[in-house]
Amino acid sequence: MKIMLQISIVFGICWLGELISALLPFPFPTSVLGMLLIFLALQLKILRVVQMETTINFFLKNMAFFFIPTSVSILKYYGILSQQLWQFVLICLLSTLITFSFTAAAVSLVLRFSKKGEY
Amino acid sequence: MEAIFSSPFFGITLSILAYQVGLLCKKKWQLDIVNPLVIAVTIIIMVLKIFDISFEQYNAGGAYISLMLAPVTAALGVAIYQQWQTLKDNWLPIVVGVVVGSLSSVWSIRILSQMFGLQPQLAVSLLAKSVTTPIAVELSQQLGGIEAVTVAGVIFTGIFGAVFSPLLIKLLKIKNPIARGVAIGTSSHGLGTSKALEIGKVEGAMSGIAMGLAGVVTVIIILLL
Repeated sequence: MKIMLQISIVFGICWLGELISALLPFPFPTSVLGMLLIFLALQLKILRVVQMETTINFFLKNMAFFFIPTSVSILKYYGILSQQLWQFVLICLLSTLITFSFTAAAVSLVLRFSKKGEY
Repeated sequence: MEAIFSSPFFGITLSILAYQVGLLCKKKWQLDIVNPLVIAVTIIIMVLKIFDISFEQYNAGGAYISLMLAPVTAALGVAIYQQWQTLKDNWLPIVVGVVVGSLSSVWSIRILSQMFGLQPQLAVSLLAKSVTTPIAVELSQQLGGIEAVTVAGVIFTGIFGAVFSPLLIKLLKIKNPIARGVAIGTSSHGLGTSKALEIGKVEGAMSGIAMGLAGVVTVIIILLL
């Protein structure tokens, strides 16, 4: 029952996230809202980490698994992309590599020039 | 026979088994390029093709797993809470990284789309592909893009991020966990973040916060530029 209770805390927070998301005048992902709500609840000491630890650790450890059905859904989009599939895939790949490299370079640069200089 | 594959139990069982095979492969070869998620997805697509099962049949069960994406992502709130001090001490490099990264994402897609002669409507659908699906789809709709193309772009980007991030970390010799995490979260949202969590706790938390920030920053960039 302990795990069920932990799951219900996390689900309840997601539900609250959906509620807030519906009230917001602009679209904001429920998942990110849930993340912020859990963070705030911990920071404000409304919740303690031990109250959800087992469930959270399981989620964080196996996060990739939950992306499987979404990833399989690329099957559905084959038709719409078939004309320019290779260009499409290549652009996705290259821009991901570029974004990663630029971000890492920017963070490293600021870390190096910031006063701590622990880089 | 049709009905057997339409049962939610089929999709869920297949997903778990395929992922187990992926994990075994990773354990056996210990290579960064061997990604359990990619192996699982490949196995599932092959099974669906061989037995002539539609995505909708598979997704009768798959949808339950996808439903869990919200609580699983919300769990990152705990990781962020545990790394709060590191986050507070390094807010400037994190914010600069996300802004630079989001700008380079949008601009690289524009330039690459032109270089490869991608149809304008496809190109516009891709612009927000580095951020989490709901934000990307909303932006795409406002720009007159095609939702399905945007979702496909977001997924490809996430998978590429999860597969290539460990290689880029080695290749570019990125030693700082903050730089690693922010780079992963900014370039490949939640899917990348799942890989960041496997690399380390700081990486995971940074990737989670960068993913959220990148969503907001990308909205501002696309609507202003």
